[in-house]
Amino acid sequence: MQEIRQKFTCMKGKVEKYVFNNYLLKHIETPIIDEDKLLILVSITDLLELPIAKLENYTLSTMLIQTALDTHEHISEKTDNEKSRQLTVLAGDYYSGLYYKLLADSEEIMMIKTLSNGVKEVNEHKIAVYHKESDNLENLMNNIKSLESALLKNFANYFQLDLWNEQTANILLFKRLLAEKKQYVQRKWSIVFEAIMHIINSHDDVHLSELTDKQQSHLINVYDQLLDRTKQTIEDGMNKIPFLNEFLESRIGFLVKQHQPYVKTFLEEG
Amino acid sequence: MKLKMMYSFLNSDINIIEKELGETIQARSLLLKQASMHTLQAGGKRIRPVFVLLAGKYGDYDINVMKNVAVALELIHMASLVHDDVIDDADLRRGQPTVKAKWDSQTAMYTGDFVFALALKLMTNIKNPEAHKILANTMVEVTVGEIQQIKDKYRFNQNLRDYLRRIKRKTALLIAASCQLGAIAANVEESVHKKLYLFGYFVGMSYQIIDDILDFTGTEKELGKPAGGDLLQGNITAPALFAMENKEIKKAIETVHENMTAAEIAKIITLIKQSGAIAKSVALSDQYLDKALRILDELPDNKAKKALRDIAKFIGRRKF
Repeated sequence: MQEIRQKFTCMKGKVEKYVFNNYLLKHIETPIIDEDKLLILVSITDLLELPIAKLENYTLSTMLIQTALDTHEHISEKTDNEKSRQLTVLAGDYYSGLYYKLLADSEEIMMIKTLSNGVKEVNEHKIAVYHKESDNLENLMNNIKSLESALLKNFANYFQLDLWNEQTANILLFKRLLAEKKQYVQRKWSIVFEAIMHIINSHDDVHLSELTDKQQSHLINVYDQLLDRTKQTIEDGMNKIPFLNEFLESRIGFLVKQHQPYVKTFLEEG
Repeated sequence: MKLKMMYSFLNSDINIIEKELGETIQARSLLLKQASMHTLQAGGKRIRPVFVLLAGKYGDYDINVMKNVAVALELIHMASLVHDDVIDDADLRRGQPTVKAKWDSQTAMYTGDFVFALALKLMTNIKNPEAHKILANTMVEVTVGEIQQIKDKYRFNQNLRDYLRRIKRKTALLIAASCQLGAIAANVEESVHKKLYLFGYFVGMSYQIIDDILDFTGTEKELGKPAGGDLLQGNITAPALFAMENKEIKKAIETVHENMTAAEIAKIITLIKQSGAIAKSVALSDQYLDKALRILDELPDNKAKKALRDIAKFIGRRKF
């Protein structure tokens, strides 16, 4: 466990060194480095028998493009600060350029192809969720799962070792669902809640801020059931993760504890 | 002569590139495809693919290889335009609504990232690592240039060197890379592809200086926006820098801020135009154009050389 933790900390430091540009940080929200995705990458590469420098280069470039995509999530119509909006776009483009440069300089053309395919898929699923293109909840969950995991899935499949399975994607889906619920509770808005409402309201748009108590309760109920189901799937298939280690296991354990099944909460409160 | 006439011998290959651009943009989501095609269909000179193909004529030209570079570079250019419209909060480009205006900023961000990924994926059909090193370095430099442009806004104590470094990154490097990558894809020898890089660089510098001049001399109808927009946004370009050699005009320029009225900025534009700064800027552009033409003299004679010469002269002396 210590070794994985050390590798993780070391890689996190390297990603930060590239991402935390002094000028950009003065004007944009501090870029979020997705530590769970980094831990998954470190856990995957730990199983590979390749030179350390090569593995670090793969991990670093994958995290740079992930951070680029995450940074571009911070753009909205509502940004009051023009300079911040401009530099947030450019920061994402800059990280994206760095990812390509790292792989190009080390002549990893096939990895560039692999990750580009991942970026393409991520954005296809992002658009589908953002524009509420999902017909049903199953389809919506698959889109969220894919937008969260397509990059890492492409990365793992590159090594052709059956490193990837749906279980890892479910963990990333669960984490996203938790984050969206937190956002909805705090801000009464979430793109995923909006997409769910669009589906359960027969594709008629209703502003989340205008929901009646009954509609709100129904929405939360549906959402919690989705969380329950995903949590159960994760717990049932924990041992199926090919690159599971103690550090990752404890992190997954922490994540699943963040949500209590709907029925249990209801009974406790009742 | 019209620009397209200068490379009419490439017409069938340009058509292949155009078709390939459309075919490359395939997406699961209809909306994503529409947003991506929207920018593509807005047109544009396709000058980067043209440079790629012309440079390829110095080596083993195979359109099936060349098209990967030509399409990838045009897609990268397109993706950057989609993001630039979010940066500039622009509603119109080439008279058409931008992706940001037709949908919204978030859609524009996803579309730009998607198109950029398609471009890199396509580019990986080129196996020469040198090509990727050049393109990756160019992309980082272009973004650093854009960040620098924001840093330099309303910074009136900058000098000509700051400006030239900025336009090098903003415009010249991608045109230089287009020429060099086209040559590398056609296995052109190093001494020649390096000269083609320099040619593209000098043409790009000349092109951007002319663009910056037109922002002062063009009419609102020609520009699609009021003249002097660059200065109003705090972008200090060659005409303003030359005009600031006069202390009185410098004082006036230093008063520019984004909330200035149209009448106030018009007065300053007139001062700049009367100062002789436009002629000095044209001379600067001509210096780069001459350098570009001199580089061409060192290259072997062929059809491409004549086309490159004509295009360089056209974009270095264009009125719009």
